[in-house]
Amino acid sequence: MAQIYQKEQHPSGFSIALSADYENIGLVCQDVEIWLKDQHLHNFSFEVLLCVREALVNAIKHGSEADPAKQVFFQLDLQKKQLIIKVHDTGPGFDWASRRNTVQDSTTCSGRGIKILHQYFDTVTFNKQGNTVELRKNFTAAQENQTGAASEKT
Amino acid sequence: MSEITRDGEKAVVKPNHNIVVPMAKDLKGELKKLLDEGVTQLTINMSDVTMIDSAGLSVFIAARNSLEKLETRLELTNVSPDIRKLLQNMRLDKRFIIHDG
Repeated sequence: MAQIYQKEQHPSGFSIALSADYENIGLVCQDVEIWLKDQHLHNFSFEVLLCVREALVNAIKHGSEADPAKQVFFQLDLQKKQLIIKVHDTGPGFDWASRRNTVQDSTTCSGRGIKILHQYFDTVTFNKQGNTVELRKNFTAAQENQTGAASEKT
Repeated sequence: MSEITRDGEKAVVKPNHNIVVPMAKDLKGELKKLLDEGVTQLTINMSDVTMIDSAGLSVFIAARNSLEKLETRLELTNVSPDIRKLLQNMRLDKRFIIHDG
């Protein structure tokens, strides 16, 4: 089965169609990291890349059963100082809402992916079917100034 | 593969990659093997780790749970500020002995 990794550039960002293979997550993260640097948003690399990873792992694991024959769709846009990331899979969807409300104590091994998304993005929404997640993060003027100042120092 | 240094019941594990899907399961296997072999004092040197995801956190928690039965704690050294903040956000920072990088 040939691997699919098709990237399309947009004026406000880019989209990628990829085979549902964990190895492709690193490729997406590389593209996102380069884009963040180009946008002088590299100070937010850790949290954005972490959430990109979590969303893609969910889509590949739960939405695609890690079957490389299936496809996952990733989209990133920067609109009016708001970063918007969408991840869609072709699976039947799963109950994101109940996952979020699952309370993990510090001895529970799994189930922190959705919590991480909510921790680092301002809004996290799912479609009704549960196979698309949309993440939105606002970059305030203060944060951008901080980023600019940091980039000037380096 | 991680770099592993053994000294009796002590072991220091230094992953040479980020602790994320799909590599996190390799580290999980390495830690389980050490614990099965009788290691009771386990340290993970994070100097080459810049990213850890929820699967990586699961690996730490599983090791920590095993060590707690032996009344010892998992030690993390050279932890980056971003990873320390993640552990704090997930309310896991008190469950490990953390040394900043």
